[in-house]
Amino acid sequence: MSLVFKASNDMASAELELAFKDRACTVIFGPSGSGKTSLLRAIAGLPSPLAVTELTVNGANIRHLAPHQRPIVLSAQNSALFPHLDVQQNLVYGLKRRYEYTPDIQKVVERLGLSTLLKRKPASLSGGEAQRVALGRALLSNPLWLLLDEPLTNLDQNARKDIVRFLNDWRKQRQIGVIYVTHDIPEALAIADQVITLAKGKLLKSGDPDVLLGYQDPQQELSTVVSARLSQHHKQDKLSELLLDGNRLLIPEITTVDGTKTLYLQIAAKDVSLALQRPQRTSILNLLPCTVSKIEISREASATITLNLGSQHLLAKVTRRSVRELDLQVGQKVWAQVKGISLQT
Amino acid sequence: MALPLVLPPTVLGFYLLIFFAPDTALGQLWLTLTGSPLSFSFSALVIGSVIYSIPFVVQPLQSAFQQIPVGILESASSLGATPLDRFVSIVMPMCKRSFITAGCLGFAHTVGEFGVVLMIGGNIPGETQVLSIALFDSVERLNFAEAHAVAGGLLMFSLVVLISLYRLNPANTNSSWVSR
Repeated sequence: MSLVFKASNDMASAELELAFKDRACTVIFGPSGSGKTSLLRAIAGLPSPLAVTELTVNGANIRHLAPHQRPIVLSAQNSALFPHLDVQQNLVYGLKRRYEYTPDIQKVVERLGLSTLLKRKPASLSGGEAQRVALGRALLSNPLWLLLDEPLTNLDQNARKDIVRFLNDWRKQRQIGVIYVTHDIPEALAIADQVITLAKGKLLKSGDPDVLLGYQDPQQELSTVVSARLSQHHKQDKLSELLLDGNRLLIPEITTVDGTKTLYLQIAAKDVSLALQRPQRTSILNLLPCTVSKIEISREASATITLNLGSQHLLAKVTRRSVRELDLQVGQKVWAQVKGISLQT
Repeated sequence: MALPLVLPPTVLGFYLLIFFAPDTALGQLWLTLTGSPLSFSFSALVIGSVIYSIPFVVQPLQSAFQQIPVGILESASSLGATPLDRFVSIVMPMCKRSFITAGCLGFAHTVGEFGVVLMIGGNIPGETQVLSIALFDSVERLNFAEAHAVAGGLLMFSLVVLISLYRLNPANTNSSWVSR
């Protein structure tokens, strides 16, 4: 029970072969030009540079079906709302044409914050509003597989979190498969059951969200993703304590997670600083004993230090001057300092 | 499709007249089906005018269709709309103005037609005589009162069509197909 996709590709000579788990959310990760959008378009049956050689949904071959015959809905990155229809009519466009079911339109309208927009025309919507309408329209068309191409790029962090939570509820309740393209690591980690990373049209890695550990998007700010377990809450300080390979890590309080679940944290390299001895009386909450595994000096003032922390690693961005003055060497023991307030799940 | 734009109307009319004659396949078929000959009939006028005016309808429609972003049609197809459904639910409403414009242009162009209808209609009063030929007849008979009435009427009609076109398509008033 899954979606299997095979294609040959002009960009990369190798064949691309992917399997998407049924009723799961697969996040596709990769820099611009890595073929994420082409992949979604090929699955939806729209023109794409990928030449599909096999496409099955639950074992049934759907490669020869036209887009409107496939049990798949693609919501494109640019929203592509119908300009002559108002928001309400846009929302129900797919609903009228797809499968027989009783949709909860009211719920979608409420959770996506569309109730005041229903009579507006797409031309009068902001980018973020248009994205929410496009997402609602795709959800209401109730496909077996929902393909979302960077659906939340124009929304702020809080709205994203809300909508990702709603999307998770919705897909679990409807038991649909989601293939989700994003650049945003926290967003990916919040929704992914499975992660696929692509580069230049080739499959890099495929697996559970651990694939993202250590993943670096060359176009985004330098950061690493680490996995940690929630151990306790410090109610008084509004902090949550995590264990990262046995090391204590305090972050601003998180609410929605059950105690056993693994958490993924993105730590920006610029938020990590280094000390040779354990700092005393510092405001920085998180002190992690690490080993330097790699030092890269850039052409500018900065240097990137890769640190081993148990089985995981961290990146620290410091100045070249600091590297010289601390006399950092590969294999050296250092303390990584991470401001608690800069961390988020 | 664009040939009627450059072809002298009398030439088009001449070939249609030959083509509609009772001894051709089409003429025969028409005679068997309807019991009357096609040439010099009102039906022949309609067929001839459709062929002559088609470019004036097709051009504004074609340019309107081309302006619809592909992404919108793709998104409709992914949401389950068949090709016919996409045409009815997306293309037609988005091009509503162009459909009206094309209809007006085609109609106005047909009303003013002379060469084609004279050739294949034969100017039979009460059957294939149209206003533009009636005007010519009046002038030939030196009946200027009647000519003024017909010409004035056609002038008013053309003005009304033009004004309503400009009202509908304020942005398109300079485009080539209106000036044609």
